Amino acid sequence: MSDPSKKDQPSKDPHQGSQGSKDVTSSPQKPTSQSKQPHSKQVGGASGKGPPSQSTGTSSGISAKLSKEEKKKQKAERRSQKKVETGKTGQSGATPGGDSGQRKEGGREKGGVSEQMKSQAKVIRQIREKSLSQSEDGKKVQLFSHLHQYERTQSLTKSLGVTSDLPPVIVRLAIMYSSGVICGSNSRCLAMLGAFKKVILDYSTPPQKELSRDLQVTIKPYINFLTTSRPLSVSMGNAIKWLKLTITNVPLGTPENEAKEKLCTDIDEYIHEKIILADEAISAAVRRGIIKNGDVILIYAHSSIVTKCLIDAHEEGIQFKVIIVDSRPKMEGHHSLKKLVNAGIPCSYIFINAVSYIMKEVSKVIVGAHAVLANGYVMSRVGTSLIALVANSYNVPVLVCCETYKFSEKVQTDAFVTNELGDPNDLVPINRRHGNILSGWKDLTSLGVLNLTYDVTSSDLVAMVITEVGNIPCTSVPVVLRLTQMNN
Amino acid sequence: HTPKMAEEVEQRVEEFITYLAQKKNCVHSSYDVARRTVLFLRDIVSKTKWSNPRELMERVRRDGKRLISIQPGESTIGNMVRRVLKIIREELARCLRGSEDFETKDSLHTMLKGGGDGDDYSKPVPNLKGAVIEAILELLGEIEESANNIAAQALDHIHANEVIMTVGYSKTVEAFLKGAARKRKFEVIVAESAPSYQGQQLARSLAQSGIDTTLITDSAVYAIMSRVNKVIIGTHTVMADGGLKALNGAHGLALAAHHHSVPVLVCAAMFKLSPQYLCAYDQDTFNKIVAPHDIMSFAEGDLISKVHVQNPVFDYVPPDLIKLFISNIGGNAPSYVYRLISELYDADDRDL
Repeated sequence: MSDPSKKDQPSKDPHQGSQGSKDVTSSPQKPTSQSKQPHSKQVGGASGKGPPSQSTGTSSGISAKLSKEEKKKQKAERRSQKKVETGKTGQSGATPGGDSGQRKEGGREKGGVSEQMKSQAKVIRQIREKSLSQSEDGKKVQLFSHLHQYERTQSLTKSLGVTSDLPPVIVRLAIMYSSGVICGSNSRCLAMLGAFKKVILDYSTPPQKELSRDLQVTIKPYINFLTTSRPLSVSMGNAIKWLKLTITNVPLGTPENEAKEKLCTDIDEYIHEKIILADEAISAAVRRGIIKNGDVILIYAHSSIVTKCLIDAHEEGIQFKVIIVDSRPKMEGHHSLKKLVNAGIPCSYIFINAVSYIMKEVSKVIVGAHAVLANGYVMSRVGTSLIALVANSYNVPVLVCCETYKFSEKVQTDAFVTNELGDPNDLVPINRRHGNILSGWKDLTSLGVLNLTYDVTSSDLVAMVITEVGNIPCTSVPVVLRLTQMNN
Repeated sequence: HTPKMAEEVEQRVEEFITYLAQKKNCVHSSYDVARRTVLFLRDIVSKTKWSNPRELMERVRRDGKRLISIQPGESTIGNMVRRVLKIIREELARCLRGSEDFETKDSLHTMLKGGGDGDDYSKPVPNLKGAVIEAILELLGEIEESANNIAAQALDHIHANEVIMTVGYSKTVEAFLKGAARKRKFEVIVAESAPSYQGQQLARSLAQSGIDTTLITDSAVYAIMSRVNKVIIGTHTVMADGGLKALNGAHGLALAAHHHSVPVLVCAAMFKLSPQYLCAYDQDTFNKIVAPHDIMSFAEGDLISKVHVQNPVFDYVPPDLIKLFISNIGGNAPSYVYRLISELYDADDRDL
């Protein structure tokens, strides 16, 4: 232990103090006066190992510690080499104390694409390690061990250094995602596009770089940062694909201000066309042919498009009743309930276990979707498939409202392969006087808690998908996808 | 038979009625209710004054109806009353004829003979009291042993490395799973059954016994079902058509299992078997609606006053979704339930 410490004297001190503690959590507690230290410690401890190192950080035996020491030694050597290099090519003045330790900034200024790629990878890794969402003691269910479990273990901002180069609007967005303030496919996409508009407006092309290429490179780490707070939704993914395409299509030689303005107008147009107008079209289709006088409509959780359709239909004068089905732990049905009650629609409210009790009174089931997959399966909030199944057994039609920008080329048949694991601790509070039944569940080794976010409803349980291009059966979704690709 | 005894019996009735009328537990444990009913009926037989079987049966019927009127949803009371009435009839036949008379009234022989009721219930029979009390105690023993008998069959139904799903907190199912866990290694997935959260209690209890348990939300039942080998649930009552009056959410679970071709096994003791049918899908008389404070707390009074919140307790599961009933006398298909009913209860007692 003594040899490496002699070599990298400046960076070792935080190490000494933090050897016994976990890799990721120790860095935020260090004061950022020595801004270099947390960064270098991160890089030293994690590079070459990737995510598994965090979980093995505390439990690693002496041998693991030794190998970490060795890797730190190598890292330190490489760093000192880089110091010489970057000293030659000149540093960006973007952040104070910018020296070899601040390799995130340095990365962008080095010449050569390969250097850029490597530093990009490092940046991504750094961001991932600092993100709030990875929990070291996360107890994961075996069935879903291939997925990442998002637990809110620490505050996001604490883990970021003062000198982080992420724009505050992106950080704010990530916090709102992970805390659930912004929830729902459309809202998340809108918020993200709004944030990117701001980023583009604040962006200034560095000298000797093309906006069309450099802007994309700039945006990439932001997207990765957002992913660490919550996985991208399909709507966000499609919007980002479109955005990247639009950025590459900016003609070379356009003056910067013009290009930025054009991009912002393009984003506005995209939002207007794909989301706002599409919602209007879907609402009109629902008003015209779907909801009739005397109907009892069943909805699940909260979908912005479905509540919009119901409120518009009510304003047009159609008399109908709504039954809102809600489920734990998100309880998004409360949100729908408030909106509909304020609009004056007569509502009922039940939990999902009572769905088969209430289904005999229901005339139609209308749900929203997170995405519609290319094989016609509908990916939506967990519980939708159960409702569709019960509705089918009572011969009640199930209708899905979905804008075409949420159509995805992926195919999936079950809810295991790709899903989002929410925080299992959300299931614990049950609002009872006698306290929570599951308090201290982590101490029971045989007990696992699973909090799924999405599930997949098969196409034979869904009667129709209502989109802005028309009312189509689930099986026509790949046709729409192909047509939109051709149009692009 | 002193007046003091009569008073005692009256007191017992009042106690029982108070117990039944308790709103603290939304649903009383069927086992508790069954035991108490049987003990109560034993007291009636031993402590009240009756001279002939008809008087005894009248008394039993009257008190039984009084109890049922307090909690019509507790079919176990009616079941036990009918069992005791059948016991009385059987013991009477045995005392009179001195041998087990297996012929039911519907047998071809009696129909052809044109004879009506062969036994005269108005004649006093000397040994009847002792015989009836003995048989009632046997019934009590059967009830108390039912959970153990069911758990003893566990190894016949669970193989190694299975994934079993369950919902709610049934003590029978808990004993079943713990019994199997002694010799087999398997995994259990429990749905938390909001708003009663009984599933959470079961998950905790199973995990404390060392069984690998996973707790999921009710909404994830369909999503997880493709990975499940068997669904094992308990029930409140087994209806006469083989359907179930089970905890709310059981119908959704059974549908999901049926869709994925996963067998549904129901662990229910014989005292839960009821000769009642589901009379109407409106469920007004079938189901029980309780206070919705677990769904939407009264703290949101503003919202709750404008909205109709429903919190049903039971669910009807039709017999075609169920594969097997595991009871203390062995396994049966739902199609065999009618036969069990004709063995346990007398046709005349169907309407008390």
